[in-house]
Amino acid sequence: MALNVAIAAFRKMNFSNRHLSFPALMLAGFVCTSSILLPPTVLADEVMLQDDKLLAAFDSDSGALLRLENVAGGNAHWVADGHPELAVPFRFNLFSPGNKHDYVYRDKQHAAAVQKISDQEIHLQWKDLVDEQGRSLPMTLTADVTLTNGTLTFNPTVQNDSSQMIESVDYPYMGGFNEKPEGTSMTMKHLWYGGMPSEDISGKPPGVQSKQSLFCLMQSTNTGLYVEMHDPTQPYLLNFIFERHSLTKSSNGPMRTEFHTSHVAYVHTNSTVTLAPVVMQFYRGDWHAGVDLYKAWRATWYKQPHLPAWIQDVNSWQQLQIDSPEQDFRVPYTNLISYAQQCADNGVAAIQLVGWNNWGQDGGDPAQDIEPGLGTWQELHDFVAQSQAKGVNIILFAKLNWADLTMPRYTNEFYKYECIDPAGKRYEQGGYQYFTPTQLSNIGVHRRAVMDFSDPEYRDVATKEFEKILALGSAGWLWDEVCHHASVLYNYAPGHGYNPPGYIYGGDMPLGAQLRAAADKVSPDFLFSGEGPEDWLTQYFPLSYFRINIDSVPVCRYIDSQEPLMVAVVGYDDREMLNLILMDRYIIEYEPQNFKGYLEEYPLTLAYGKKIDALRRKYKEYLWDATFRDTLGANVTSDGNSHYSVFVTASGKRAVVVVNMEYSKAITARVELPNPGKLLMASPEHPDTEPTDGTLNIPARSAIVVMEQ
Amino acid sequence: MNLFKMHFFRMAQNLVMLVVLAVTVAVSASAREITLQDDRVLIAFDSKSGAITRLTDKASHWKIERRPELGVSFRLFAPLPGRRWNPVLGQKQVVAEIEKISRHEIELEWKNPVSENGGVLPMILTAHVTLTNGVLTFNLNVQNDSDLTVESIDYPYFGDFNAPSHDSTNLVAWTMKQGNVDDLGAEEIYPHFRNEKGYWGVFWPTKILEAEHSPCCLIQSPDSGIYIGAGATPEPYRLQYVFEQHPGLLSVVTGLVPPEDEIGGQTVHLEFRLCHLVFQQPHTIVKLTPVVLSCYRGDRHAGSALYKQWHSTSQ
Repeated sequence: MALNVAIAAFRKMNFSNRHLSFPALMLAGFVCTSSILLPPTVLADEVMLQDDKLLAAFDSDSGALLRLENVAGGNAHWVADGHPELAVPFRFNLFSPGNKHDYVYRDKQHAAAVQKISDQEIHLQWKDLVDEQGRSLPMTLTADVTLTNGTLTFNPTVQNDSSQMIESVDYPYMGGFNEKPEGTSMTMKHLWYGGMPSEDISGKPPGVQSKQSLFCLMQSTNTGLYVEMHDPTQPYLLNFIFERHSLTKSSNGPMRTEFHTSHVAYVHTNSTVTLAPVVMQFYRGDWHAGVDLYKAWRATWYKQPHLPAWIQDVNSWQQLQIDSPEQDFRVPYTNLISYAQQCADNGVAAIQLVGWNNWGQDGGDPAQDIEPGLGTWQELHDFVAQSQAKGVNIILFAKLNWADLTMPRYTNEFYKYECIDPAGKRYEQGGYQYFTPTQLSNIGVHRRAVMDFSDPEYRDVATKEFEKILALGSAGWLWDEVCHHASVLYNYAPGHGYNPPGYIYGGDMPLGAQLRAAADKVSPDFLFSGEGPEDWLTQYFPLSYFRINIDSVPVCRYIDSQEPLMVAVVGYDDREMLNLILMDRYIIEYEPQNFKGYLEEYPLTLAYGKKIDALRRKYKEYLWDATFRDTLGANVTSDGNSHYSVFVTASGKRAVVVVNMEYSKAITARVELPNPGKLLMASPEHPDTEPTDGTLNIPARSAIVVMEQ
Repeated sequence: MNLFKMHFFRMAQNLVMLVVLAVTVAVSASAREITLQDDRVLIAFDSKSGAITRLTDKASHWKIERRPELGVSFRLFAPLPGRRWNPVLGQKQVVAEIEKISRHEIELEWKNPVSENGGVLPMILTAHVTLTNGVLTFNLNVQNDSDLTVESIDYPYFGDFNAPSHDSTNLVAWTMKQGNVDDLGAEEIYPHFRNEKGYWGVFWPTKILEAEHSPCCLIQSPDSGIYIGAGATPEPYRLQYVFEQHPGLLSVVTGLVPPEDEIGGQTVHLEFRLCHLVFQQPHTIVKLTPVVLSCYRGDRHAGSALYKQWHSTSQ
């Protein structure tokens, strides 16, 4: 409204562009800017839901969300959406065979119903929608919005009686998102690959997809908004989207930011689809407070997977690659036992064996036959048995997502399950480069078709391949790249057991269940592990393996203190990585020579890793069995580059791990705990405890643990 | 002479012979170097393998190639019909002929090299190295009489490429972004080194810089540098500057290179080579793009000036 007033006033000035005076420009700019930045006024035709935490106001005519406000006091107060003139009720993206998109959008819609059912519920409905060409479409969007104890839930349903498929539904929709609640810009955060990437909202507008994270956080310094796809079963893709638009035709004019969730649900003609509820909650604090909301919801649906005893105890692994698509055949099956012996000698519990299958790592997938260039099936089988008899579990690395286009089985069989795009063309994953200058120049790389996990027939094919792994007698497997399907989201091909397009990620859990059932026939202790599985997928792939750096956020550890999370250690004296592993209770995976060498090839790293694991065994109550709190519950200051984490034992005793990341400088750190008991300290190199008052002298590249008695 | 004395005498005799032999080997080993040098550069080759064993910038006393035992002559890949992995490693080859043709010219020849998985290959590699006014030029001819395609040849090959000292603070490889010598991009190679390739597909942290848009690469220390690049333009095939840090980094968190010559029993060294992706057909002869190398004082602008000078004279 205010913006319209500003534009009208500007027009009345009747200046041609050539004759705009500086004061006139200043006035127009001031009015425009003020209309965006000043707090909104309450309109008479608002329908509101409100409690002591949140206020949501809707336009009684358009049904659009006019205002979303954190009504909590102090610095948490925040009008997240509060510019009625920018309000948008929803948007439909219509799918047509010629790939021409049409929109049902903006102010052409009038709500058929905006009813306040109770103090906690509003019923909204839009009928006979009008597209951008002015055509009336027999489509109905219904949304029940509830507010319970600060939790705002949008429950949309779409009825499509038209002859056009609805590709996506953008709802709820915030047309004028206020991205600077405390005068500083916000970041958008979400789960991915064991961590929490963060993007500045005021920069290039970020986006998050539900295939990676069921929620996103819009995080300011002291407050945030949690937005959740309230369905952990991956029924379809939900995008959490920011868009930035100019408020004027000038590209240099003031900008507005939109936020909406986009349900890519592909609502077919003559069908009704209940969309996933979208939950919004304000919170006070940093990302921990936002993730706490996710943890509370997660506890209602997450099924803890069975774990074999050995993985629950302090343990470490080695990753070893023995072959690649360049047919290097470096370690014959009969030579593997020498690697296992080094693991046994050093107390390493498992080898993640990579490249054992036909055409090596990233070749020959999804077939899981042995590689004749490395030996026979019997030789590999015997090695697995011999190694495990030494106490070194063998975890076979595999991928079922792709079909190597160079393989005869692709031409003869796997092509039937590949994903195609809307134009009927095959999707491809680009493959990976190995060793030779030719491949490292991206020539002759094995490209792969992307298999359709939503196809029940392919899931049976994949299960048969997986059973070949089971037959080798290993203690488990690791599905590399379990976390993604390259750039493919949907398969548009007909004949795959569903009405296309099919959401590929929607097949992850059914396939996981099917594979788990196959493994359970052999042993419930057969370990499923994967590379950075999404949080919901850890119900089937409970061990998550990934790589971190100094900026990685230990959000998965914060979500689940006991989840087996494993991190690669590559450096030849990698104390920094090992100290981070100690700090965040990760499992060590030794990877000498980029996981192509012997364990004892990097003795300095191995020796320090063993000291860390010894410390964790000695103080298991504090460092392994305790609840991980990241940085919450203690304050650590130092005169250098330090990091720390906090653990709380079952009996409430606290431990603080402080790491000195300085390369050549000892630091002095001060650990402060509220109401501390008697404090003792120990370190990987001095494992026997000594009393401390909380002031620590930590050598360069070292860690000290403070434990409350 | 009792048995004990006789035994002792024989032991002493053997010991003397061993000492003599060791001294002889040591002498002959040091004698097996063939050098080219002028007042700016010294380069030495192993007379047995043809590997580059030493390279020194005499003006700055920068020992660029320092440890002879890490020298490498060349490497090529010739995939077999049933197995792609078939490198020919220069370290395992014996040079058939090495001749100092003049004070500033050496010729080396390798015949019938032995590949890792395909046995002896009927090939002849002939290198011609010249040193003129501080500028080294490396030429290589490859006569491929085999039925295999030679996909790539690494030459010249520096097996122990060093920063001016262990304490060097910033050794950087500069290459042109889009063929513009006034618009260079930097890659630090010492004391930090970041792997730029997928670590699953390389044995050691690796950087590959393309010569397509950068006919030269400037390897720059704070006060001096090495200019290396193609001696002809345009290159008839893809050419790359390849850096490979052995055995790895101290920590991937810091990206620091181990600061000593050895870590945990492993030799620390940086390999640097030019990779020629020639895809040479069977029964053909290929003359590789000449590679020129010279050392200079100053910052990267001094190196850029060398390129401009060369570019202007080659037009």
